Amino acid sequence: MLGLKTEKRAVPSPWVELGILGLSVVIALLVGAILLLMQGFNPLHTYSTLFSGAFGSFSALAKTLTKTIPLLLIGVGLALAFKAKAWNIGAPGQMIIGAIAGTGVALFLPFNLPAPVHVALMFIAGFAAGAGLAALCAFLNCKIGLDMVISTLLLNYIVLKLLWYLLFGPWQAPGVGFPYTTALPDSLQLSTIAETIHYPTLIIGIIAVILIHIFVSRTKQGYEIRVFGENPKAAEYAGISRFKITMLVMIVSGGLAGIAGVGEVAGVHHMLKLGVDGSGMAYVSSFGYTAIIVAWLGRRSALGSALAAFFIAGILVGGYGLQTVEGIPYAMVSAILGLILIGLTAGMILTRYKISFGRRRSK
Amino acid sequence: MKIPLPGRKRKAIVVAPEAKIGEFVVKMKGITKRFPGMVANDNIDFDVRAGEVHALLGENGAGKTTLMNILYGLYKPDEGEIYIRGQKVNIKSPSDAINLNIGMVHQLFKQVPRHTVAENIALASSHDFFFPGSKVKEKILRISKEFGLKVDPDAEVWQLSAAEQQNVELLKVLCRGAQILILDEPTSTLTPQGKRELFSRLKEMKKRGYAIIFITHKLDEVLKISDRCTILRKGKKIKTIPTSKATKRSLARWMVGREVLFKVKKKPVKKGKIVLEVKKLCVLGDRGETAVKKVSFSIREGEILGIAGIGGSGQGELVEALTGLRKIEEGRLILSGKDVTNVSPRKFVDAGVAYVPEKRIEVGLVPTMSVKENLILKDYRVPPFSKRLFLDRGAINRSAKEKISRYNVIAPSPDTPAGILSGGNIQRLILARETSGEPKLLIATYPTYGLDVGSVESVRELLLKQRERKSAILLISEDLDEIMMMSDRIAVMYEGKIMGIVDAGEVTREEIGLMMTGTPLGEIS
Repeated sequence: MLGLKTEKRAVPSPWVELGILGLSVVIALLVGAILLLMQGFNPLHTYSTLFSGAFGSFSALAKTLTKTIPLLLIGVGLALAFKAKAWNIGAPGQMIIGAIAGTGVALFLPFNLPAPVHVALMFIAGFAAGAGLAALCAFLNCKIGLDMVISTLLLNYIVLKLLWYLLFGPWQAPGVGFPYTTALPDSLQLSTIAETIHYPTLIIGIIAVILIHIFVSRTKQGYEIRVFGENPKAAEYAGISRFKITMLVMIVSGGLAGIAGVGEVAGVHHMLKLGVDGSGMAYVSSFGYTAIIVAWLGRRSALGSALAAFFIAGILVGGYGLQTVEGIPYAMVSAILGLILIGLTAGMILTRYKISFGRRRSK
Repeated sequence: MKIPLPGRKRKAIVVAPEAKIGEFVVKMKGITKRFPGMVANDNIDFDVRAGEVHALLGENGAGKTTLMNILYGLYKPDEGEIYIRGQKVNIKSPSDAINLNIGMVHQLFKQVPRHTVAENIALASSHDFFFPGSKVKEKILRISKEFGLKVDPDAEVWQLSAAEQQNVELLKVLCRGAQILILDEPTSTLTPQGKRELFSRLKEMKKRGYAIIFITHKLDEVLKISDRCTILRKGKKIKTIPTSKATKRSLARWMVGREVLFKVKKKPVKKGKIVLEVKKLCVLGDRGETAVKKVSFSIREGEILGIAGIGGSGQGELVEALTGLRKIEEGRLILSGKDVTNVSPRKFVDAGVAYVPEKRIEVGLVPTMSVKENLILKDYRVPPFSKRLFLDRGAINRSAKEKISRYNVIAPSPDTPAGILSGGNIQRLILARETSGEPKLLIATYPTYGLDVGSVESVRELLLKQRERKSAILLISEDLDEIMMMSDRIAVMYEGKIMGIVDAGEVTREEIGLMMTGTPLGEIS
């Protein structure tokens, strides 16, 4: 009988991993090609449009980098949280509450500040708001055992409703009737390169990636997080406090999501509005959810998540281009994006196992 | 070459084995199996007769299981030939082996916990599309009656004890018509009583002409149950001899390759101050029952207090309470004069309490992390391993290399994931970590459980070295011999209570046995 046998790979080499991931993208694209052919589109042409729409020109690259910023910030935070088995599904809510806090500081501060200080305060407020929301869930989880997946997920809806309330209520721009606030004063709008890349946020993101990478691999606390994430029982045995770890990683991941929210307000939209969390894009629910895929694809490592954020941002931007330039229906674009993500996630599992056809061979 | 497979068409029913008693049913000649970086089996000859128990003895990693996996079709040998009932065969998969009436009971049972016994057995032996409930049940009852394997076919597997699950596993292979049985360390999860029962079942099967291969590293079992014995060491066959010509000492020497001392040399050590004092401790178990009932004892510097008792008498809960992992309901804990009742596990670590846990891999190790990272699990926060915020990788590497060689941990490199080490090496790694910090109190739970003779010896020596260093040691073990030879004093637990504490020199096995089964010391005349 022909059967599939799987064996765990002891230590996958990075080249094998990269090869497998590359191969899974190719396979996904081949399956997607069948779909495209059935609908009468030229797959090669479609894919080259997808690629060039994402990375093919200076402006395409700039768009991709702009979308990378929130995915990077949230993804690297979630990577840290997931590493410590803190299942934070609340990044969309933490991002929105950060955006609200940042906007509040920008528009409603009762006194005047120099612009750089004011902007810094916006980011600090955003971090604090996102971190506070996440910390609440972590605290309830550790003290009364409230499941963190449930609490973080449900808070997303509550925060979204708060955003609605503010935008249709007290914060609505006067005399317009649309759900957004008045624009931020020019001095508080983030400077950009290539028109769209709000680089102050990008710099914060890059610093976060580097710091988290060093933190996890080199510090005592990082060691605790790794031990806890790999074997919570051994961590307890070693005297590592679950409470401290969970609070810490939730504060960092929630705070980074909050900063991403401020970045979108001050760097992209220049106002608080619906869809500030990225859910305006047709096939994306929210950066906060997409970043979950970023973190897993990045194998819960800071550097990996940074790469994954760039890659997924590329797919999003390229896919949007397909829709507008080629007139390929939205459903088809999402199907191809979905295939690529399925391929990558499946490939990720393959990097940890060897598969052989037929009889089981030696270990 | 392929021979016609006798079992393929036939409905698997139990028949008396066709081979005559004493006839060779298995012959393996010149079996060699190479794995990357090692030779697991090096030119091994092995045979089994119908109606005998043939023990396959060797340390962890000697190649016993590999050899049997080859016979069962899980591995393909690189060289060598296999003859079953005189005919050369090419066993390419377990289903070929099953068709040749070979059955294997694995060390870890492969059962579906939520299914009934009958369903589990049908899964293994029936090719029918629909669930052949009554047929299978009837067969199970017939076979279990024949061999005295007590199992209720309608019980769900998760409700069964380890011994009963083993019976299910045996029934499974018997229902498939196995006449050549391979048992891979079948006693490792059994209680002494379960072991006795298994042995009488095996004797019954032997009489009926079944051929039984018994993989083990326990010498007593070899002497008790087997007719012949083959000893493997590091992939090579040392010899095959009739068990009647072997002694425990000679078997151990062949297996380990050197003289093994079954008696440890315990130097007299002057006892110092009291290190740990336990006062009327009450602790709850996982199900809310009182698992430890008013337990009191104390341990001095340079003293080993052994706690004997049948597994599940409250030892596990007691130890967790002594390390801060479980809440103390009543009573007090005094460590070096300080009250440490219900302080955090970290306070115990800081106070110099080392703990070798019962569940080594689940609790004592982070299997996916490297050997060197596992070695600093208890002292990563203190110099030389860390300075302020950061870990000092240089110091960690140096110390890992030193500990690996000093404690004789066999690992490919300090960066290897700790989980792939063998049982004995994992235990040496944990001991290296726990004892190198010169603990005041060392709590060792079942420290030699499941280890081979050589490792057992090294672990015991390590504990005695700590005793000479004037550490106080709490030793928990089910192995009465170990308790009696290692301890200075012995406390016996029964149903959460201490039945008595006695000097190891002034007590007999019988007295301890009586206390273990519920007779308080005062009532022993």
